[in-house]
Amino acid sequence: MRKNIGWYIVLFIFLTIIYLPIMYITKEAFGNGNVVSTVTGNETLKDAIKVSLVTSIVATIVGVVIATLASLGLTSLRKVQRDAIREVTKLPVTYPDVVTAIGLMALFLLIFGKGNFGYMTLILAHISFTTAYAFIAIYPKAKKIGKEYAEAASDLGATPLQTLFKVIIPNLKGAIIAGSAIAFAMSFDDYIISSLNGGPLENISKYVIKARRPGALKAVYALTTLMFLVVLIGLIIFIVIKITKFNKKEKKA
Amino acid sequence: MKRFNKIATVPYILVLIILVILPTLFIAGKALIEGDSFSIGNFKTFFGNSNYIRIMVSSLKYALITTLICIVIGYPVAYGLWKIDKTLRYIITLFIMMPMWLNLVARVRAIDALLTSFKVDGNDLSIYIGMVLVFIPFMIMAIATQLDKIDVRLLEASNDLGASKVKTFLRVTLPLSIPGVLSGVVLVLLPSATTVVIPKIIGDGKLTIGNIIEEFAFTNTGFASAIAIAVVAIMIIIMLFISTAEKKYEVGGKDA
Repeated sequence: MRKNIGWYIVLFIFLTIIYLPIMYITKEAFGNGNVVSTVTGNETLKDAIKVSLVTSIVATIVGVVIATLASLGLTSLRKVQRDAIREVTKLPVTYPDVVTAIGLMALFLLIFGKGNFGYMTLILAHISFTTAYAFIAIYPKAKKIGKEYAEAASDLGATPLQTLFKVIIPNLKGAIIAGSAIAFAMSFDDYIISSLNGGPLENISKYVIKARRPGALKAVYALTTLMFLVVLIGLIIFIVIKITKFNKKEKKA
Repeated sequence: MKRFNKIATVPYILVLIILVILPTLFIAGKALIEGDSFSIGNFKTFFGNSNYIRIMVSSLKYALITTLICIVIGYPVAYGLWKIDKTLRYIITLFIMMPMWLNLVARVRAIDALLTSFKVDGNDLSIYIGMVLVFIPFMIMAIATQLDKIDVRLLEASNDLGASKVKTFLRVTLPLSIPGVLSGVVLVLLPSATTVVIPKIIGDGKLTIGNIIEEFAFTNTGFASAIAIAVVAIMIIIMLFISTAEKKYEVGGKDA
């Protein structure tokens, strides 16, 4: 540790700088009074939170299920087909958000019509990219498991269903969790795709963009503080679990 | 089993066709068809208006400078992560990534509030600070992943052969980490050139090309689509440029 003290200082300064804005907001929010009641007392904001959560949770679940199925099934397609699918998967990930947004809007205008934008169009728009992000996280691991483990399991006499539930899913769990986390983060972050495809629905991003008056800004700061605390607590629990697991393994070895 | 496998890929293929390929074709259609005939009028309007071209150029300028700052600050951070104890590296990495799990727009609002309290607001400096704070985790992760792949024996060999620490870094570590820097450039350059949120909150009227697309999305979808195509074309050129550079470094790696 002493040898690298210089690097620890660099990393500490860097972390302090990237956390400055959020710490400033947290200080402001607690100075403004009760953080929780500022959020729960604001009906428009509560609606926005509901829209964001419903969209991101549904789009993540649907995206991860579709991506997992495809990751497992892809081995039985020909190489040309597999390569084509992998190339197309890169599009929604590399397209600028605003390009994805306008393409989907043009499509939905034709299919659903101008007056019918709502949860249906909003969630479909999010599925277009949550599925791709989930696939990129899950496919490499699924490819490996499919080849090595599934063959071994069927050689040992497991039925396809047994192979799926006892071998593939448990081994794929880590990749599925990682894929869900990325898909959810991308969906929850989104502003422009939702703004063009959500019709009258307003999610958190849109509420925060529109907030100008002091009252609305106060609510935004309170919400940011709450999100920060939730993610921080989640992260600390995650780290503690990881380290205990790691120590157990060390003891066994 | 094989039949099940084939059926399992169907929903994904449908998502790609309906929600990825079709919208791409729709953008092209909207941009190039006016009434019921083919027309490049939308592109003429865009490239004929010096105002839009100026915004396009300034978007690229913001993106390029942001990317450069991200390399200059991100490289030492990634290098530091590589040098320290593994458990702490893991924890610090998680903390660098953590803000990404908060809502992006709320994070940008927080940056704006802090900058305003320092009276740095609505100028180029504030945009650069905002963009770097938002995008630098991508650069750090890309470089850190690449550094992690370096075989430590190469560094030991260089040391055994009498190279100084600085020389080992310049001749061994740095060239081997360039592919990481290049993938970091892709991850930072493209989103920062088209970001809608950052200029909207921090910029005070300063716009990127993304804002222009948003502005016309409802009122003149054809025109917005034409700009989107121009943006994607520039994006493809940049990506080709970077992947050529990447290949050069891969070959160099194999030779060595």
